[in-house]
Order: sequence, then C-alpha cells, then structure tokens
Amino acid sequence: MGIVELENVKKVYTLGKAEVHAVRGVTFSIEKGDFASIVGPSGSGKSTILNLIGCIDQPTDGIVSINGTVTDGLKDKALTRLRHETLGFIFQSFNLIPVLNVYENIEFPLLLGKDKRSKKEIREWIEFLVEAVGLGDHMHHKSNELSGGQRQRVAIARALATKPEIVLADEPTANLDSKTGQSIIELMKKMNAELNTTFIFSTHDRTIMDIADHVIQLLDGLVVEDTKRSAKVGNLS
Amino acid sequence: MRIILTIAWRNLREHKVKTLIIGLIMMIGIMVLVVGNSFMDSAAAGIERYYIQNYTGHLMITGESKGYLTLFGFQDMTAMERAVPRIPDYAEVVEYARTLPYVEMVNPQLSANAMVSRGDEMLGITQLFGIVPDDYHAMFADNVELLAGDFWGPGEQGILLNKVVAEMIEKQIGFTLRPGDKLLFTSASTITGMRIREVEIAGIFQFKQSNIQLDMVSLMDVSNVRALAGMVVGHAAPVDLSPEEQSFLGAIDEESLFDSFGSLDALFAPVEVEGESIGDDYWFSLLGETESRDLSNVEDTGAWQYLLIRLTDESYLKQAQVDFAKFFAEHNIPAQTRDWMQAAGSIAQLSNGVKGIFNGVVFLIAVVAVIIIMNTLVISVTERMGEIGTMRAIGAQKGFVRRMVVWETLILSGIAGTIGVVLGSLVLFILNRIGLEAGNMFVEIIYGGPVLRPELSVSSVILSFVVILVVGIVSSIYPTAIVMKTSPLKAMESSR
Repeated sequence: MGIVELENVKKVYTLGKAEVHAVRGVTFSIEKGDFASIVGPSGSGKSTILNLIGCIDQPTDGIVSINGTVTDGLKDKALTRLRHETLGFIFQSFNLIPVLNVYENIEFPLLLGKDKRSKKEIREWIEFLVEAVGLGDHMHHKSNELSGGQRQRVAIARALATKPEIVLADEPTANLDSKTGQSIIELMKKMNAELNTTFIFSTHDRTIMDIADHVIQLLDGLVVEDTKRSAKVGNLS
Repeated sequence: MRIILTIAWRNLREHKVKTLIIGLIMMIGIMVLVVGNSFMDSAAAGIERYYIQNYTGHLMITGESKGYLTLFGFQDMTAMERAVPRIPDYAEVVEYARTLPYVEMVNPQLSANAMVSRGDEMLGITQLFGIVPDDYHAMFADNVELLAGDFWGPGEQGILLNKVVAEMIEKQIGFTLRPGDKLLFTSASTITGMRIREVEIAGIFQFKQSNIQLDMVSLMDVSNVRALAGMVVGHAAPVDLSPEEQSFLGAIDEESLFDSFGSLDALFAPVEVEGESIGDDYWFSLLGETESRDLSNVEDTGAWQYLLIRLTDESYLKQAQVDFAKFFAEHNIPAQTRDWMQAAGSIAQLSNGVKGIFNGVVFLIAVVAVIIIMNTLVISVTERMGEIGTMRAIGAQKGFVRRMVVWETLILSGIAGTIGVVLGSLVLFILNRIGLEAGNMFVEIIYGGPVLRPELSVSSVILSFVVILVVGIVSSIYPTAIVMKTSPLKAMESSR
C-alpha cells in the first residue's frame, strides 16, 4: 500500500454556470521514500492533485488516502492536524512568514503542535536543518534579506521541520533561475535520500522532472503516463 | 503563545502606517474618554460633595410616598394635588437615628412653596425651607452667608429672604427690603386650600454655593412653614355622608347648586339690613359649630416632612438604608429613606443627564472608531491572506490565526490606551492647575460649583480601557471572521 493513494479521483470546479473538470478520474499510488514528480502542461491538473494530496482541497469524487488515512469526511481540525503531522509544504513563491527570521520560520511548524522533544533537542534539530540547506550564516536574517534560492532553501528546511512523511512542492523552481532551481531540486533529492522522506513535486520543466524516480504525467486532468525508475542524483549538475 | 505574540508584535511594527492610524484613533479615543469621564466624575463628585455638605446630608427620611419626592417637595405632575407626607412617629425615628453609631447628626426640615405679596401686589414666588436655626447651623455650618439681619431667635418667627428673591421683589416695589419689613406669603393647593401668613423679614442671605433652584429658596421659621404647608391638627378631608343625609340633600351636583342662584351676581349682591346693625356675634352664630375650623388652624407642632441625616462616612450609606428600612418594618412606621441624589432634586440630577449625553456621544465615537479600525484591519488581513493561508497549510489551526489577529489588536489597544491615559492625565493635570471657570449658570450646575478642577479618576481609566478593549475586540470580529474563512488554498493561489 502506497503512502499516497488516489483512486478514481475527480475534481469539478463551478465557475458561475460553467463546470470545470480539473481532474477527471485519476488513480495512482506513491510509495514511501519516492521522489515523485507530477508533470504536465498548464491546466493539466497538477496543482489540483497536489492540493488534494495536501488536504487543502477535497475531491468531488473518489478516494484520497494519505499515510493510510482517507481524507474524505474529515473536519477542518483533523485535516489541519493531518497536514501538520504528516505533510510538509514547499511553495512556488516560498511563502515564508516575513516578520520571522530564518531560524524562526523553520521553528514555526514545531510551535503549532505539541513536540515532545526538549528545547535543546529542537534547537539542535533546527540548526541541523539550517546547516543542511546551507544557510548556517543566515540564521537570523529575515526573508527579505535573502535571495530567491536562499528563501526556497529555508522553505525546504521548514517543510522538513516536523519530520513529515511527505513533502509536497508546487513548482518549487518556477521562480528561480535554472541553476538555482537545479540546486534546489538536488537539495530536495539529498533530503529525500538522507531522511527517507517522500517528496512529491509538480513541475513542467523536463530537465527537472528527469531527476525524479517516479513520474506521473498528466494531460487534461487524466494520468497519461505513470513511470517508476531509478533516479540519478547529480545528472543536472 | 510566544510565537503568536512575536508575530503579532512584529506585524504591528512591520505595518507602521496601519498601526499608526489605528493606534492614533485608539489613543485619541482613550484620551477623550479619560478626560471626559474624569471631568464628569469630578463634576459629579463636586455636586455630591456640595449637596451633602450644604443641603441634603447623606440621607433623607420622609413619610412613605410614591412619586418624585425631593427636599423641594414633589417634583412631578402630582405636586399640586398632594401634600408632602409627614414622618410618622417622628420622635421615635429621631431617637433611633441618634442610637446609630455612624449617624453624625440630624436636621429636621419642612418645605413649602409660596407667592410673595405686599398689600394687594403680587411680587413673586419663593421656595421655603422650614428650619430650626440651631439644627440647621449644626449640619450646614458654612452654607449661609448673611447679607443683612440675622436668623430669628428661639421662639421667634421670621424669614431669611434669599438675595435673589429679595432683588426680584425690590425691582417691583422700587426700594430695598430691610430686616423688620413684612411680606405676605400665600400657599395654595387642592389639598390644603389657600393659606396666607404675614412674616417679618429677619434677614437677607445667599447660599455660598448655589444654583438656579437653590437661588429661589428662602429660610423660614417652622411654625409659619407648617401653616403654609397645611400641617395643622385638623384637616379638610371631604365629609362622608350617610345614606339618610345624602337622601335629605337630594341629587345635587355642582351645576344644579349654582343654577339655583340663577346668576352668580346674586351671590355678591349687597345685603340690605333694616333696623339695628348686626354685629360679629350674629355672623359667627350663622356658621354654627367652628371647632373643626379652629383645629384646621392649629399648628401640628410635632410634624416634620424631612429628617436629614449626615453620616460619619459615606460608606455607611447602604448600611444606614438597610438599618432604617428594617426599623421602619419592625415598628410598622410608614416611612422611607432616600439618598442625597433623590433628595437633591432635578437640578442636581442634571449632571447625571449631561453624563448620559456624554456617554451617548462616546458610544457614537466608539461606533465610528470601530468602523474605521475594522476597515483598516480588513485591509491588513486581506493583504496577508497568503501569509495566513500558508500558516493554515503548514498546520496552524483556525484558533491560532484568530488569536494572532486578536492579540495584534489587544497589543495595539494596550499601547495606544496607555499612551492615551498618560496624555489624558497630562491634560487633566493642566486643567486642574488652571481650573475651569463656569461662564454661566448652566455650566455652574454641571460643574457643581463656580470652578471645576477635574482630577484623574481611577474608574474613568478602567472604563476607558474597557471601552477601548471592547472597541478593539469588536473591530477585529469581522477581520477575524475573514481570517477564519481563509483556506490554505489561498497560500497556493498567492504563491502562483
């Protein structure tokens, strides 16, 4: 059984009197530890599927199961808890909290729940993450004092702070230049390998999707290809 | 909690313009509240102080009655239709009052209204306080400033005419009234009928602290006031006729009675008498038995309408009211207590009315402030939709973001409120030093004296903080509702 499972999932949006069928019956499974890429052109349904996996949207029909939990019928509080405990998010525009510095942004998800670790352990874990994403010298910088690449590194560290089973990344390199984008994907791949965290990211950049070991290709709201392969770290450098 | 406070505080610093706008509104609002409420409290305290010290004492005991009974008599629509009740078992009540350790002194008093005339000329009206000079002096020692003459002596009668009333009369008669001059005082009511007394002026005085109502009050000996107030041994209640008497009189009503004369002129036609002249004895014999009439002119010497009580400390007021109520109930005495505010009458209560108006204005300002603050917060929250959505996406419950918005408002309210209180205190300190002079009678009534020196009152500070916190919290309800509805999807949308 996959850590993420979608079974005949449909999503219909209503825009005025018109209905938009964003996802038309998608079925796939992602295994724990996968470095999965959801690819496809604009309007193919990538973001909608990420939203459904991320429990921030509900399917019109079908079943979405995250780490064994079916999301259908869960109340907002339970969905929020599921997001907090199981999922990490990396956004296209980084979405750091502007009034917090690097350390505080990474610490933020840990303060939303009850962490059993001591303050010292938490501090050491955050410092490890900061070092891991290469921002040891920028610990107390605010997000507006960082470059785009640095911001996305903070976002990756924040997504990993609660040690989630799954990290979702919506077009994580879209706002970065190609070189920085490659380094970000490499970082994600490194974290995937070191922490055995499942990464699922959407992209329409072919060079980036090649690093993924599981590629789900979408077109017009349907899966047109679901490929599993051995990824080669460093292909992009 | 720490992260909520950190984010709230930094957001306030980050959005300086918004913080400044809301902060300024709150600061000015609380400053106005502190100054306004302290001003009103000082004025109210001034009025209370000077009424208790000079006119009413802390407590007034009267006979049991419904309606708006004050030291000036009934001040409602029934004033002409009923007499101020006497205190039943007065001696017993006074004796009990003197046994209470917290009662400092007592002063019995009467009141009546009278028209003033000289010969056939009607000169004006005055409110009369019937007093015993020694008792009155003992309780209100510094209240009266004698301008001419003196109080009447023990066993004597007389009136101390208020300077304002004296001037009103002097304008009409064209010369200055002096002690020893006599004036006619006429009272009239549907209960006591018409009563006239000629009273000698013992002196002219003015109250040291007065107002438009007190300016009309003159002080008179109790014997004459009792007479004018109809406080006599007999009474003129309607006679109950037996059925036989009623049958003998037949069905007579007022109209048929007067119709029988054909014309009212018949009543006033000159009486033509032939033969020997008829003396007083003849006329009095016509009146028959006159005992009832005589009794209706005999003063009820033990009767009092008011017993004013000064307590050793105002804090005993409630206890005194409870103790007296218990005493009246146990001894079956139909009497009641009224506090100084009820005793003082409508003019003293005007300050409360003004305070009510002020509070109404404050409420309106608060509503406007809520709207402005709410709009600013809505803009602020809308601008941060992506940020809030991100928080929700990465695991912040709705309660977290709600607390964050509320704390932002609370922190801002606290800071703006504190600055407002400090500035308000500064304004009050300056006003206290300068002293606000009442330019006219109306303002003097509100001030409770000719000069008001407002002082910072703790209650106004507490009230102002409560108001500003309520304004802050109410203002954040709608923005918070927007926040609560913010879906984590917003984070994704704002990210794209």
